Amino acid sequence: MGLAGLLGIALGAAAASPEMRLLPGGTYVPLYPVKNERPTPVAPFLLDEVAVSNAEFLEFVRAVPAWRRSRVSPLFADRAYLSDWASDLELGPDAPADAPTTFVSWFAADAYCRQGGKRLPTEAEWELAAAPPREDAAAPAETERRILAFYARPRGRLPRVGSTPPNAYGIRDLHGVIWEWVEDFNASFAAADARSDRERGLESVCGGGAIGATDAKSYTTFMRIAFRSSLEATYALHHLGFRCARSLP
Amino acid sequence: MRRRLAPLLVALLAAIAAPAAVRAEDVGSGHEGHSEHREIPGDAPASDRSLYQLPGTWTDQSGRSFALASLRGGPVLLVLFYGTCDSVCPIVVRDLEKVEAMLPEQDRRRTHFVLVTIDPLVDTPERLLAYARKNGLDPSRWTLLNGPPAQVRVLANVIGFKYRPTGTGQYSHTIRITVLDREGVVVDHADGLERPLEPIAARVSSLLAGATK
Repeated sequence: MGLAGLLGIALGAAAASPEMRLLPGGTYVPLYPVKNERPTPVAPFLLDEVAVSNAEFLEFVRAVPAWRRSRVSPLFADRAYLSDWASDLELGPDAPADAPTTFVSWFAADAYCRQGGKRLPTEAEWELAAAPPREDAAAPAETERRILAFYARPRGRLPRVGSTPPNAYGIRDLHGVIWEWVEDFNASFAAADARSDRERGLESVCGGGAIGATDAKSYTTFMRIAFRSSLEATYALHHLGFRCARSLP
Repeated sequence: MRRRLAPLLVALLAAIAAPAAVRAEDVGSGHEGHSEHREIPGDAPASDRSLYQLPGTWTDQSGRSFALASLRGGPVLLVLFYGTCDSVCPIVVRDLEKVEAMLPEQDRRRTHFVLVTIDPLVDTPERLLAYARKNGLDPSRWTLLNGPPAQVRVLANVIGFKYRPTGTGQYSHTIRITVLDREGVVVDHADGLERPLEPIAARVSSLLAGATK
């Protein structure tokens, strides 16, 4: 079945939640495979077109008081959690309602998605969504340049969600607005301290690290994975937000 | 080769350095004029860090519903593992058994050994029971738990345990023994396979020192 066919299904499947798009899935090759690791098959799935906004997250904490700033457990979020909001239930001037919600921990993002019957996308899903099949041979280099420019830009105020053009899958803001949590954000170097990969763990983040990588061409994938791997699930950071995914029934 | 790698390494190192920089910047600047880091005054009580507040219930090796909070009262040695792990996990379980053997009898009786599977679709309670029996794990002290995958991921992230499936039923994962105090707060980790076991046993005993009963 071609992409057009899948997108046809998407219109049906996404009818209940028009803000989600159907992604065809595929195969994801981990950047740092362990010995004998196989590419990860990714089933077709639904992904939010845009990141979760402050307004949406405010509705969530209204409904679930345990996730309000003054009540959240230190087990689930560090002290920067929602620190750009004016108060527990007030966004204020630093957190526009239509901007992506940031300063949210992995636990909060996970809980938000599950409350809505969704889940965080896996790293494999996110990376596939961010790299639609290329029609133009010049596109990859251009895309990399654009993403690197974003990564290098000083951080200012966030634009509203959906402010960047959709990619070939109809997904917006994957590059150029925020970094995003994924379900298995810390899995890339999972075995860094395991016996069989003890030395590799050091190599992975040191000089010769790129030699073990499967796709040494993608700087930006390296950067995303290095960034994600540096996170703790309690971290709440400016410019780190999220969107939700859903498996097909 | 060297020439092609050089810019890549620069990017990689920059990326690794970035999160710390982003973090400082996030909290300090970006919004001029006032501090962005509005701290909640005072430190939270230790019980706010208890694992026993985690939502969800588990199923133990007997097929019974199990709440983590039922472990409250005694120290816990917690390990995430999976039953078909043929390399590292059996060694970690054996190490836990060694710690069990090191403990003085009165401490051993009051310590719980908890294994949580990261492969819950394969490690059914029946298989966990078979695993416990095969390894001679005393059911009065050893609890093997199965839970929904999303619940396992949350628990893993709370204790800083990383894992990912690598196909063919195997996982790439952290090696970590986590020590919980009598309220379910993480007080220690022991990582890798070459750490000494005596300090773990000593830590457990210290958590029981001065306790009545």
